[in-house]
Amino acid sequence: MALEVHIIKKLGNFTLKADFTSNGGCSGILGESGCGKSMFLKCIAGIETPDSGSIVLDGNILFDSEKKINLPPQKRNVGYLFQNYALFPTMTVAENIAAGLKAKKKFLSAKDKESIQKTVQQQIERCRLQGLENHYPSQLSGGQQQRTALARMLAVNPSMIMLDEPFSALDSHLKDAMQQEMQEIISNFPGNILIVSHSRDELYRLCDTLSVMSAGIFIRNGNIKEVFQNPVKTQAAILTGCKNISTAVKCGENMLFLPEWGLTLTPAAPIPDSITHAGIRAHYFHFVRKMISPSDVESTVLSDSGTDNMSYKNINHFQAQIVSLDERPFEFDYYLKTDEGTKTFVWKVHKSADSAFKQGDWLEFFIAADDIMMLV
Amino acid sequence: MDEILITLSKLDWSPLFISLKTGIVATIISFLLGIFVAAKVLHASPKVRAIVDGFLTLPMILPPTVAGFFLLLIFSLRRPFGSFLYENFDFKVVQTWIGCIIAATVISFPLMYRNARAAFEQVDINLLYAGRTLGMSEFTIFWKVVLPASGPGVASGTILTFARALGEYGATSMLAGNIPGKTATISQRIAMVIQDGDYTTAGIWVTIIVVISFVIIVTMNLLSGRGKHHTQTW
Repeated sequence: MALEVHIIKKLGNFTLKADFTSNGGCSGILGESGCGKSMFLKCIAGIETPDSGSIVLDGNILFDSEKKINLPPQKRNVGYLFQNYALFPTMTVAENIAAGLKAKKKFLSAKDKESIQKTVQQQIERCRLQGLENHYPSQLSGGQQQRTALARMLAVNPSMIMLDEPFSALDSHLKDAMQQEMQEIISNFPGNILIVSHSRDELYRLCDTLSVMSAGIFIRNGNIKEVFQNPVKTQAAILTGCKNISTAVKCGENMLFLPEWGLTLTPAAPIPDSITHAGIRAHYFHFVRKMISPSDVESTVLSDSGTDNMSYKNINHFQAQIVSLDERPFEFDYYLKTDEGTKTFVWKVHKSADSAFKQGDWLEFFIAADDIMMLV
Repeated sequence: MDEILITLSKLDWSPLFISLKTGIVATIISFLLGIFVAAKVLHASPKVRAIVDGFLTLPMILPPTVAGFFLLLIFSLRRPFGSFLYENFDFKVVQTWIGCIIAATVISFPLMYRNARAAFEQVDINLLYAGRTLGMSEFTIFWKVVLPASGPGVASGTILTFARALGEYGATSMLAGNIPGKTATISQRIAMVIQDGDYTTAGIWVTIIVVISFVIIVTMNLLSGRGKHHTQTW
């Protein structure tokens, strides 16, 4: 159940330099469009040939530039779900599913035909395509097309499967349902699964591990929760959906200065010397209180007296003003700026009477030391 | 009116059968060859493709008489290859029905080839990739996936090829000549009777060839339109 890939592939100015290992389970690959993630899958499938390197799946060498091994895709037994599903347009659902099965033998005996028929029937039931056997792909909905492509891929019993942007072609209301079905199929599949996507939500839901790819290189690998918690690389933080990223300067053993936001924070973990940026996810600002008036702001800033107003001086507390706001279906997005800061950052909060504020309001916030992402 | 009926009753129908036979055989040859070459050219590098493509399209661009000239160069009994074929295999192209077929094939082939190539290029490359990852051989992928998916384009290529082969005149008259009952096709017969000033016979043949061409094209259009139903969205 192990996949080991070390490949280099040049395409014009772009270079894919991928080192990837998986010991089974479902691995997600997150990256922007054009970062090389589809190319990576195509190299594993044998559709594209890397310039150099090796690809080993469950001990079988699929590609090795030094040993001059390059199995054709037909011999790799790797399932590939294409972004547009690539269903054969002139074949019915049943014929599509049978296409790969028929390819296994040169001449089909009556017994072979019977067993193909049986496998097709199994896949049709497994992927809930009953009643659609004789439909052509153009007569199917997006979800049905995807299920047909899944059935066709699984019918030939691949040793690993790869899904290339599996939900990008689906309407948003179908996505949710298909992801749930996909989860079921994934949990029943014994081999390696690779899912490529630019949507962190899809991957978070389906995968055990996550690899973040940027400009042809994997910049962060690990357990998916860990990668989201601590992306390490600035690019990885952006790709995992961190909206707020500022340059950061280490100005003490555990003091971090963020000049763009005018904040001085104390993170939980030791600050690496190589730190360049810090990130705070938009949901991780804890609202403490609303300042009553600008004079209240003034007084808290200037005076150290008084017990109630002290809180902002506490570690990782700060005040910021609402510069602008966006209303979403279930959330408010507030764009905040501190007095010393030059750039805004966004705070996302669930809509409620308690979270409704106006432009120009001054608010006090607290950030948990664990939630400060230190990036290099 | 009477004149037409009298001419019709005395009409030598052989040009019709010669033209149809020539058209059908040339279309079959062009069809198979055109699809084969188009599939091969598709896999070639862009430079090779440009050169081969140019060479294969020439017969369509050049006047048919130029193609006829080259064909005579090859097959004339006074030329090495032509005399070689005749002396060793008793195989004669010039002034024979074989000459009709070769001339019609050479002239109509580019239409088949170009249409087939354009149709193959329209096929989603992912269909080929999908076939490969499913273990299908290149041969199966081509015949079961690519060719059906490019059905309408290939069909219209075939229509044009047949129409062109049916009406071929220039190269045919040079290579095969106009021997009544042997190599005289409809278009050659029309040219000949016009020279004699026999407009009635010419009119009859013109009507026949217009009707045949029209019926075939409409039929094939309807057929390929039906195939489109499944491929439209691709």
